[in-house]
Amino acid sequence: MVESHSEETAAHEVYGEVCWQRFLRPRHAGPPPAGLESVCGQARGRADDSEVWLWLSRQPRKAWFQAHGSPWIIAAADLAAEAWQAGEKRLSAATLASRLDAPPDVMDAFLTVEDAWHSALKILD
Amino acid sequence: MNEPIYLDYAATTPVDPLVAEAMAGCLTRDGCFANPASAHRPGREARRRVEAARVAVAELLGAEPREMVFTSGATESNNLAIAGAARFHRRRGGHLITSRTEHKAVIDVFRRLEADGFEVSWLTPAESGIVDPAQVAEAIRDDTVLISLMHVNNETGVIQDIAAIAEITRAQGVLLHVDAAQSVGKLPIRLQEWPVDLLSLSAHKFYGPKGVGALFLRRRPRARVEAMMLGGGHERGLRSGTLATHQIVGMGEAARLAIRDMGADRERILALRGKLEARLLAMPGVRLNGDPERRVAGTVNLGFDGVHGEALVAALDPYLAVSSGSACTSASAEPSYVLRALGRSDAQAESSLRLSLGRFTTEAEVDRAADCIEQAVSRLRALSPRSLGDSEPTPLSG
Repeated sequence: MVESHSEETAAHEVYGEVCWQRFLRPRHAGPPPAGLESVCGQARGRADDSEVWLWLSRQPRKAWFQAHGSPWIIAAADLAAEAWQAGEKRLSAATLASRLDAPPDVMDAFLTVEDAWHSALKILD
Repeated sequence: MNEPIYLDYAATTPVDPLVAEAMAGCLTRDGCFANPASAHRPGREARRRVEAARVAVAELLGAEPREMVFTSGATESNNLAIAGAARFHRRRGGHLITSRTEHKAVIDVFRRLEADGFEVSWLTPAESGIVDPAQVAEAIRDDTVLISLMHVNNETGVIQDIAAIAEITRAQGVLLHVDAAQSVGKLPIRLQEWPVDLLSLSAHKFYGPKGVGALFLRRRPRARVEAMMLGGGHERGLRSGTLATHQIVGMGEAARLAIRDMGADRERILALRGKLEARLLAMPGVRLNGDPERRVAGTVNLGFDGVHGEALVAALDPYLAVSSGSACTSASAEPSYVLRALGRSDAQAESSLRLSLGRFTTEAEVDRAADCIEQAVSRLRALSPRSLGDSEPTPLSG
């Protein structure tokens, strides 16, 4: 048992400012509003105890996510949704890690989101 | 940013200002800084203060002052009691008993003794966290020399029936060690009535300083241990090393305050915990870990279904200083072995929080903490694809 988080590095320092802000205030939390779900490519990624759902829609160009996992996975899913809305078609775990300035040991979170992204695109195509 | 609300009194407590004052009088040249082992007058004064502290700590436990040995804290006391007693009585037998929910400072000593050839029976408590005294009686064998059980669990706050267990061990002629780090200063301890042989405590759990504690060793019948710290023969040869006057005096003052305030503190803290618990348990998908009744006043351990443990701890970090049910790093999480032993899944253990209140906790802090937790849990649940009643991953359909 961790016995006092106050004695450790503050959470926003552990996760970095970009991840922390997205974790606190994700912009693309889902699911999609009623009616839009049917036009979405919907897929999920799973790893260990984490899970992410991603919905991508072409018309309108929108994306939403839900995630059960660390702040890294929540921030990465939000970033992936934003990337789709910005018109990006390819997204890798490495890109997500780089944009969130993440350490290498949390790569699983980004691979999980990458999985969901590819699966959703496949369904959409 | 404001300081987080401190709800981690089970991890450690702030030093009471009166304790700090007493300690400050033993540090500098104009104070009582001399070596208590010295024969000169300043040394004798230091010795007098050390012995006054010994009387106070003994009184808190219902023990005799000469039954107390000062140590660096409960971890050292546990090591000295368990390894010291096991080794001293090695010829009598090599069987030891403890439980799976003890503190690491006990578990690791038993693991070392196992590696050294002792046989250890590990008792599993009920889901409530309580070890049935009948379990203890059943586990005792002819070659059992020592049983070690904690009085109050550090994660759940569950209180063991030490008086009943002690009656059994005494009747069987087996030594009983009690790790009382979480109960001293919070619950009445009656060593004049409970036939406990050895008992460990730490000052920093009851508003004393860190780095000092004590081991109670009963004189009649005499509990004997093999010393581990050699050199100088301090503390009747059981724990060599110059006595840390300021630390010991601080612990003595903390003991005096505990004797004076324990009852009132307990009532007040219990009321605050009741308020906090009532609010959080009113949320859906929140469960209490540990027995609802037999718990120390300040501690509550709650599991939050449908919330990821690391995310919950992170979300609360700016606002609350609490302990989680997992030892998280950025890459992995180790679920609490205590909660796992009580039947909780890895996910349930990881999404649990221990909130522990103390002497300086206010009602406003409790209200604010409940607000923070409610908001964080609701926000994370809204983000999660998992349904509330199901903390496990959603099933794959293909």
